[in-house]
This record gives sequence, structure tokens and C-alpha cells, in this order.
Amino acid sequence: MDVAGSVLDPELGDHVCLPFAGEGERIAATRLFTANGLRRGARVLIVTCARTPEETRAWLAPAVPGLARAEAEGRVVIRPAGGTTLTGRRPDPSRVLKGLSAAVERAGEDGHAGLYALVDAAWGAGDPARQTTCEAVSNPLFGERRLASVCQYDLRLFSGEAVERAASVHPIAPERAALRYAVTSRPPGLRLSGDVDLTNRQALASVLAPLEREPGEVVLDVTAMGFIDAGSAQLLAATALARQGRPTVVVCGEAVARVLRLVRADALLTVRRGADG
Amino acid sequence: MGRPALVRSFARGRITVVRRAVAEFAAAEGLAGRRLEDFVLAVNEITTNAVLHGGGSGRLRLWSLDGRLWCEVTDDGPGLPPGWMGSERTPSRYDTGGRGLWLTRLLCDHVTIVSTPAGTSVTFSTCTG
Repeated sequence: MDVAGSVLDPELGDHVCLPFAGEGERIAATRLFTANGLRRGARVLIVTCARTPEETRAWLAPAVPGLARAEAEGRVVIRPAGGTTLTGRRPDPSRVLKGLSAAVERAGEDGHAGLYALVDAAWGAGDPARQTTCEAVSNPLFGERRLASVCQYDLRLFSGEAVERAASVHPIAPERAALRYAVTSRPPGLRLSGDVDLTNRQALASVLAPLEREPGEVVLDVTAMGFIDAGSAQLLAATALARQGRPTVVVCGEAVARVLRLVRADALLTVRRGADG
Repeated sequence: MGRPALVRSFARGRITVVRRAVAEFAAAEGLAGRRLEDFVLAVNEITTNAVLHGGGSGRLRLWSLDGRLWCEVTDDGPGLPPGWMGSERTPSRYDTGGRGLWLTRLLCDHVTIVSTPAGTSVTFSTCTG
């Protein structure tokens, strides 16, 4: 429960895939996530699917004192997947992204520290490939660090292969490499930390994608990154290549600089040495 | 002879856990700094290859012998493609499968590749002294 415990207390900006095995785990996760979100002053949004909002309230009530008041004040919002703008009947990437952005805006306008969303991934079980696309396109939004989300994947509902595919587009999943990132504006780019390997490489690809359209210089600060594998280092090079001559700078420590040199990414990127992490 | 060998099976979602176990084992065997980083990167690339090109899973064994740390990664995949030119040639940008082997030659010593249509086994070592 250690790893699950920490992914259930995410920082704003974390996008977590949490596979789970039974109702006991679902209930424990819902209670812990809600308590942590409230403690952090975020709005807690629970999007239910396989179970109803009423059932969810019944588990939460004994673990979250003052739940009714928290709901009345908008600190806890419990909605069925079909009844939110987040998800429709069919996984629709642009609709998910729009709904999520709007929910983040609203949480800010209502004076919350951010939006803490717990989503039952059963909403997309009918079309897991499209659902994976929805998860991937929402990744850049997390870079604003006003949103944390834990997506619960029921192992009884999703095949091992589908869960693995879903996990790989999430920057964070238990027992897999964990990537954190923040969008920077002056200069435009990203600050990345944590690890990236095959288990979360697709998530890195989705947060790099918007940088391909950035008109001027882009700076990727990866000074705080612990591990990058060769394939992910090549993704950085691919981003630079897609930018067609507009400069792409990577600020990093010696370990990452070495991997970039080994895969010859330094021919496409400007590698600048930062303080070693 | 150091501690008993580290033996792990792996598939896609276990790459990170296996890499961390290897890093811990290698550090306990006396590897540090650049040599530790290089060994861990080589193991990561070869296990990643097994997942991507070697049938999706594999087995890893790590052991110490006479001042060297050895790693063996075995998969049950289709083997290296017939047109594969050997790990001494610099891979092209798109040659993702061969890159892991090529990198391992740069990062470690005694790289041996045994490939048949029933699977591939890659062995390499680094000096712990």
C-alpha cells in the first residue's frame, strides 16, 4: 500500500494511472484521495462509473467528516461519468480536454487551490484505445500544475495489455518510472523531473508534442531528471527535428548529457550544462 | 564470488522495477559513478529491446565473478532480423532495435549475442574493481 499511498497524495500536476484489483482497493483509494485533496485545499472531483455517486457517498461519509457540508460548499463534487462534460458516451479526446480545462478554471475561480480529480476509467472500457488517446492529449494541461488526477483502472474490466497501454501514457503509475513536468513561459518550454523509460515514454511524447509548434527558442530544463533511457532521449531529438531549425535547448546534468551524446541527440539539440542533480 | 545471483523475469511494466533492482545489486557489488550509470543504462536498453522486439518479456540474471559484474538477458522472441549487420556498425536513426546492442558495446565489455529463431541471449560485463 506504500506506493499506492503516495500516488493517492499527488502533487498538483501529477497524472496517475492506478490499476486496482477489487472493491476494497477502490474504496480505500477513494477515501484516501478525498482526504488528501481536502487537506491540500483543492476541489475534489470524483467521476464515478461502475459504482454510483450514492454508493460513493456511503463509503466516504465515515472516512471524511463533514462530507455533506463539503459537497454543499463545492469542496467535494461527485458526478457520474455520463453526467459530466468530461466524458461522453464514447471517448472523445477534444471533449475530455475541454471539459477538464473548464473544470480546472472553475475550481480556480471558486477559490480552490486546484482540482483533484479521481476518475473511474471504466467510462472508456468500451474503447480502450480511444480512451488512451484521451489520457495522452490531456497530459500537457497537467503542466500548468493546477490539476492532479488519479485514473482508476479496474483489472477485472481492462485486459493486462490495455492497462499497460494506459499506464504508458500516464507520466506516473505505481512501480513504473514517474515523470513530473511544469510548463515554463519565459522562455517557453518545460521543466522535467523524475525518470523516463519505456513505461512512461508515451507520456513524455505527449507533453513534448505542443513544443513542436512553438515559434521561437524552446528550453527543456531536465536538470532534476534522474534517469532517461535512449529511446526517450531520441524523443527529445525528434522534437528538435520537428521544429525545423528553430533552436531547442536542453539544460541538464552530466548523466543525461551523456545519454543525449550517446544517441547523437546533441547534433540536433543545444545541450547546456546545468547544476548537476 | 559475491552474493547469490540476482534473477528476475520481466515484461513491459516491470522495466523500472528491474532497473532499480539491478542498480541496487550493482552498487552493493562495488560499482559506482559513471561505471554504475553505464551498466544500469546497458541493462535498461537490453531489457527494453527484449520487451519491444523479443516477444514482450524476458529473464535477467546478474552475477559477480572474479572482479567483474555480469549480466545475461534472455528472451523467447523471433531472434535478430536476417539483415542485421552487427552491433559494431553505428545504427541509423531509425534502427531502434540495433541501437540497444550498439550502446551496450560502448558502455560495457565482453558483449556476446546469441540469436536463434527461438530467442536471443545477450551477455555483457563490467569491471567492479
